[in-house]
Amino acid sequence: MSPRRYLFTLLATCAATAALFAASVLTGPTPVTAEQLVGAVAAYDPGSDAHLAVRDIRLPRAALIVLVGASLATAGAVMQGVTRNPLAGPSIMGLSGGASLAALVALVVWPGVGYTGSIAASFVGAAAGYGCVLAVTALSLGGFSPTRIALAGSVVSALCSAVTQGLVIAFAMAGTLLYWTVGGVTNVTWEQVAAVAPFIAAGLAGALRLAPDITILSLGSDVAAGLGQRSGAVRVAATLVVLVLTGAAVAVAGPVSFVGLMTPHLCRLLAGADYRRLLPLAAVTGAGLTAGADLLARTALGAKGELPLGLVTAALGAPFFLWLLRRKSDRGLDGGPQPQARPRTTWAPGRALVAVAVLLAVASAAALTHGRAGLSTGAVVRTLAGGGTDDENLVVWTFRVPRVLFAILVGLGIAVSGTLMQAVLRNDLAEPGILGVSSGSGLAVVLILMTMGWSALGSVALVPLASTAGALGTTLVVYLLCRGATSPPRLLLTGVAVSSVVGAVTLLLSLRISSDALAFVVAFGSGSLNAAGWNYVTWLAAVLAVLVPLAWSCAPTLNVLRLGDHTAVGLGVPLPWATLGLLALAVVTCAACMALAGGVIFLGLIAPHIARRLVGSDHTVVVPVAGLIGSTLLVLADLLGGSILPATEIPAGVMVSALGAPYFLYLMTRS
Amino acid sequence: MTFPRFSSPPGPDRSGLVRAGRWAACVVAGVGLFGLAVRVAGVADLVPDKTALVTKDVPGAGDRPVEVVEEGEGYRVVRHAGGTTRVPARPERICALAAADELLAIGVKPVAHSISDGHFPDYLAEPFADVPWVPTVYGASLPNLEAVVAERPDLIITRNTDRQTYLQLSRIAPTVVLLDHLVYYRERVLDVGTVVGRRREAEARVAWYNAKVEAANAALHPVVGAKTMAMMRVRPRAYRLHGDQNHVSPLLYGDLKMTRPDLVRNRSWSSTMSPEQMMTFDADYLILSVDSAADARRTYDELNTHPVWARVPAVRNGNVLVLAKWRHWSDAGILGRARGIDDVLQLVCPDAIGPVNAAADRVLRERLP
Repeated sequence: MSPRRYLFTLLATCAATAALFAASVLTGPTPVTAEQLVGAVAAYDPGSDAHLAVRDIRLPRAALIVLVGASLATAGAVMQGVTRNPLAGPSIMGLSGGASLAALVALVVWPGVGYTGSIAASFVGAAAGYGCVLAVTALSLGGFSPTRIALAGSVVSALCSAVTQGLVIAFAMAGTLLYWTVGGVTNVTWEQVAAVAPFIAAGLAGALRLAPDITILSLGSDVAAGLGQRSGAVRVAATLVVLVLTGAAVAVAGPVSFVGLMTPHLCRLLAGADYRRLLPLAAVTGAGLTAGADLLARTALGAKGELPLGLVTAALGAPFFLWLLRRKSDRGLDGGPQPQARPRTTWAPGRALVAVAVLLAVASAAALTHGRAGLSTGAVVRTLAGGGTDDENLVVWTFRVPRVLFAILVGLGIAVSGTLMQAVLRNDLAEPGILGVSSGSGLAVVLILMTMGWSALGSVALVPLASTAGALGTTLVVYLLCRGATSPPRLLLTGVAVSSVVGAVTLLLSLRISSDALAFVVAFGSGSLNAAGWNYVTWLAAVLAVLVPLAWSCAPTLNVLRLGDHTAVGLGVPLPWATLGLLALAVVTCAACMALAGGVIFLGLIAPHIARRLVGSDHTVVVPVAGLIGSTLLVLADLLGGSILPATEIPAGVMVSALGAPYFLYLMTRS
Repeated sequence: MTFPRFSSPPGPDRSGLVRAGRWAACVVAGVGLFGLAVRVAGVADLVPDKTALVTKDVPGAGDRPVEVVEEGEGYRVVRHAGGTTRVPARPERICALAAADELLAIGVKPVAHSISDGHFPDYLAEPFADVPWVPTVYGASLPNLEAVVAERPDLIITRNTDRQTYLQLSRIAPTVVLLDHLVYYRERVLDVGTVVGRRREAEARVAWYNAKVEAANAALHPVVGAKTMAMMRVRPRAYRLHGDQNHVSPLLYGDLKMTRPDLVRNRSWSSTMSPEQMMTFDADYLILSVDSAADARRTYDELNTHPVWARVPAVRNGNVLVLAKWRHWSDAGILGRARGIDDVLQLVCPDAIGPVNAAADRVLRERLP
């Protein structure tokens, strides 16, 4: 592109952004004319409503939005250049999540914290989140492939958002959940603008200063070294710039997502890959996009009440992310063939089965003897043997035994489902919960509560049925979006993106239901086994009695499938149908469990892994061992979650996630 | 270009337009989907009163009282929102997963309590200080069942509508489900009285409340006249104006017949008030609650220095009552509503609080058995 054409593009973008800025200052309940707009700045009249609205309400807000948009877009562009990763962005790579969590923690620990303190905390949080993602990918054998970073980033983000949710609930800040997980701006004062402006200005200046070096670095470290660049110093400086920009933006606006991912791509189409040209354009475009999204959030989409800005950018950005994924070739996404994991010594199947069964027995015994009713071990044993008082019988036989059995069944089902999925997709990071099962069931539960009201809860079967339907629907959408290219990372990232859209819609819808109903939805979605009864046990046992043996009988096919499509066809496996059938089996098994137990993610990921590490990759053994491990883990998680806090109970699903997400990251470093 | 496989493929700019087109299609699809979601969410606006999600006409919900199907020696059978249940005639150990306010109002102290949002209403904290608390899952009205068993109740009152939880609770003790206490607080006190066999105490309490409302109206209206009153809540990072909804409306605009400001009249549901909307906020009297969450304090400080805030008539004239405790507005039975009346009197004519309460107490004494 010629310099003149670039200049024209840049000026046009500036004009568009300025127009959006003006539009957002002119739009609002108080009528303001262009003349008054000028007057408010030039000759302020304290008596005029229009002047007051412009000077003290709209201008600071528009200024803040523009600053946030520019800094997020620039941060995204710098990240994409330095890491040479097209999927990089502050919200994708753990920065926004970490920053938001740290700002929240700072507020909880030190209630009087000012905006500069919040910015500092966000900065530290962004650094921690980013550092975590980089460390995981640096340690992994596959190295810095785009999808590995993106995957590690989404898991770190998920972890941060889970902890954020927990904190928000624990400190009774429920009304602000949306701000901390989605981000938004409503009440902006000049004070906030003044607090962030220096940081953002410094960050933007630093980015521009680094632009030539980033251009060279983005050609690859070999080229950069050949051109005599000290890449290490540039990387460090660029990372600092990104952290400052993201920290400042998140401290005032929350984790507004996808702006940093989307804008640089759009600008690269217009300006090419020279970062001296790209960065200014990205900053201006980011500012304009965010101002536009904000305008949408409070006019067309938010006519009935303003929507959080982050919801609008997520709704715009997630489809873009999906489209970006679809465009990429598998090889480009995976960063070339994966090195093989180191072989391990394994246990004999019999020994492993016995060991896991003993563990499960111990865990179940512990779960049976612990609870709020405070029965002694002796009393529990006596009651199980047929004695005991009425109360003891009630506690043990009506509540504890079914609850433990239910945990065993759910754990078994989800673990077997995960095993199937990992074998069929030949991907050790696959997991039904990640592929949309849990987010879909959450959406369905909110929808049914909204349309039917409380009477939806009047039947034991209705919520599980809706949840199963939602789970199957969402998984189907994920599958259809990936059809023809079921490369594992593509499928996973598509699942993550679809889940984030479905999650945003669920959040939006749940704003419209009462707080009691919302509490039910949250508790259901977080996988509580509190409601377990004999009816649940019977129902799930009946379903799993068919599905689990069916899965086990497919174990030889799974073994063949893991060898690759060509081998499988050569050995007589009817390929597309076998894959489809097994996937459907996995999803149905998982959906049946989550329909009754709510969202339990990461369990289907961890259990098969531990099983394979124990017994190798023969699925005739892996399936039962993984199932038993899943049961043990869920029983333990439920026991822990029920006894850690005195005043409340942490749902088993949350406990599993809290332990499972770090394990997932650890796995990424090993595979 | 940086990423060999990710951007400009070889060849002229032909694909730029195509890509821009696709990109535009993506955006349009995204906005469309999102707009659809907003539309679907908007459908819920057709339901006039969303806090009471009850759509079925059952006893113990809305204005329908609990029905006594049968009374016998030492028991009675009642039909309520969860089904038909045989309860003891004079229950001794009541587990109040809901209706703690109503029970206290008729002189019964439960053996255990719990509440939906994880925080016991602060106005009941003192009388219930020594009563065990039943933990819930994530603050939802899903009680820990073993903790309920441990209190050995002979009657459980809840507002949980989840069928499975109701079935489980019923295995512990007879369970009665009562709903919609925010709007129908008089009816729910009477229901609780019916269920636990203290109907006359409940009737006396309703008479007490009605007397208080009457006396308060007599004291308030000469002062207030046609002026408007509203309730606003400072949440972390947001100001919520309570619209015409059941946390506030039944008391403020129903019982006390206050005039609504325009902004309240135009919204059926409490929602965030933008600073710009505040410019048109014409409340002459304002009851203000500030959340205890850390961030709310900062938001409140910002509000106090905001140039728009000083223009609200109530602020200009100093007619603002900042509540130290406010949960009796957001989750109240009849006793909480009575406290709300005290707040309004405090704001408008503090001298009248004593006489009004004396008048109400006189009625209670006369009516009590």
